[in-house]
Amino acid sequence: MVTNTERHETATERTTDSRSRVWFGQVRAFTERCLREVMNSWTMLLTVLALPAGLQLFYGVLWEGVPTAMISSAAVGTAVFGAMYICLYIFGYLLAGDLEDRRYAAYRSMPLSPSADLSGRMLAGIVLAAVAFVLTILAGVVTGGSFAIRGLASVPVVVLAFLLTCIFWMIVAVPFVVYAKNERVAEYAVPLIGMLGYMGTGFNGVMVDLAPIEGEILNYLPNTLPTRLLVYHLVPADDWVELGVAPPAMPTGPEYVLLMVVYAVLAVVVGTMIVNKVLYKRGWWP
Amino acid sequence: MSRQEPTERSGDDERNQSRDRPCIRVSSLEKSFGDEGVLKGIDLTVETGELLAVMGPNGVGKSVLFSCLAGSDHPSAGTVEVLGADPTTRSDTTGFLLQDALCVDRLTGRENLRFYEQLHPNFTDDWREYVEALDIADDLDKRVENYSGGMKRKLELAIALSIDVPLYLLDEPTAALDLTMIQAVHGLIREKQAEGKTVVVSSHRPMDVEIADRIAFVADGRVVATGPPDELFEAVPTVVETRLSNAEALAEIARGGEVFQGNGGVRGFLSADSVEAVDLEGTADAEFEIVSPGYTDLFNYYTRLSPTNGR
Repeated sequence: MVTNTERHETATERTTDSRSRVWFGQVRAFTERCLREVMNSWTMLLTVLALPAGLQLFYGVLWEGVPTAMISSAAVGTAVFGAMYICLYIFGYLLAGDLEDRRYAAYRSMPLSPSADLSGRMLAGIVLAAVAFVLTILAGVVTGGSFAIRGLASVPVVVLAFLLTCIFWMIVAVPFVVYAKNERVAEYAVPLIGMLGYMGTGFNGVMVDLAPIEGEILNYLPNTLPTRLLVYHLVPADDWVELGVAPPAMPTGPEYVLLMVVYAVLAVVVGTMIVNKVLYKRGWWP
Repeated sequence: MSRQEPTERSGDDERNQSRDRPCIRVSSLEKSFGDEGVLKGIDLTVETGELLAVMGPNGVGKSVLFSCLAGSDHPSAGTVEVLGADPTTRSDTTGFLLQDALCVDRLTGRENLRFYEQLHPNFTDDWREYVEALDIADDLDKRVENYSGGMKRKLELAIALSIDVPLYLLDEPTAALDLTMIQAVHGLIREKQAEGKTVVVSSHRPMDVEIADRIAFVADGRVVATGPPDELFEAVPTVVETRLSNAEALAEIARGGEVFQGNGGVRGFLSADSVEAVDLEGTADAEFEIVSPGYTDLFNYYTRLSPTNGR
């Protein structure tokens, strides 16, 4: 015989299941939609996917006679730039389109989860950034670079560093887009942040001689830290000073991974608050 | 019609809807953007299963009112209740057609439909019937950026009506549509009403008023008149028409000194005093002619001249 408590628990489980199903459905909706929007536009697709790989090929032509490990490091720096650029451009541009067309007024009238909205967009950004990253690394190989995983423990660090970079830089786009409410600002101005970060830190901290800033700070900035982590784990080299990647010493300790996690968590908290409060007008936290 | 499974809450709501309880209850609603007050004290009740047409000149705040009813905007003052709840805290009761806001231009019509199908737990397969009825079934694989204004409107309407909810808020659903399509849209709206749904429509078109149970006229941020079309017509003063060249003479006797464009001439509303003072029958060359008020006269009277409008 089924007791009232059991019946209540079954009903609660069913409601939770239903909510999870709806949440995942909404994540999928936003992911699919963002990917389709990009796929439907050859211009957008080429701009975001071919730009970093194209840059790497261009450098390859200029850098004849440069040591293999230096080309590899530069390719990682450019690949991270590509991921940042895509995250800023795609995430910002598509979000700005929704804002400019007043689509959020319609979304607010629907039972939508702001976290599903944010997660879906971020998932699409990560997929595109991953494609651009791999293409740029391949371009690095074509231009004479070589890559190898330092060890088994490098695999989660590389994956984590890449994901956290994407998450952080996508959220950076949110406040700019939300307060500018303009597709053009999102299309042209927001990606410039990535470009400035890349150029202003010597290819994201892999060519320290070119960077106007120097010292330990290159192991702490949200663009240079993941890049230097990735270089350490993907480029088969040991003499980083000779390659021009150090000083500072490479960020090899777990504390640097932890710092990246902190950056990403902070970004997600800020992004969630802005999406909840400003876009969905539902208070600061879900 | 086929349906995807609606959420439990929505199903319960519809079952629990009491005919005695209004679907919408708005009291002293005010909405400002900065210093600019758009809604200045709206009071409105919409009964469950009713079809209400909201009419008013451009820029009086109809879309803002709809946004408050849909829970998209928080009121600056006053209260809004939809099915007994604040719509900003509960968003599973309303289908909201907002002008040019639903469709993503870079996607095809079909991709847009798929997006909302995945997005809204109450989205149904009814869109298949609606795209046929609205004659856009063959255009679903084209990108929306290549659609005309009317096609875009039809797709948005198909999306909004495919969401199975007790209340539909349709902001100018027939804008940019030809006469045949307007009839088709009216058919779909009537179908929704026959299913027991409540429908609130904003419009400038007299044709849209013909299907309404009641009309609410909005002017200067307030609801200045509500009622069934027949009752509102009865309260309209005598309408007089004259030639364009005679506009000044009509203005002298017309209520508020205002005349409006008529069918090839100008029209004005006469107060009881004016009717007695002016010998309409005896006027040479029939300069003034009493005419039956149409929907345009109704619109002009309630939004520009009605005593409740402060004019």
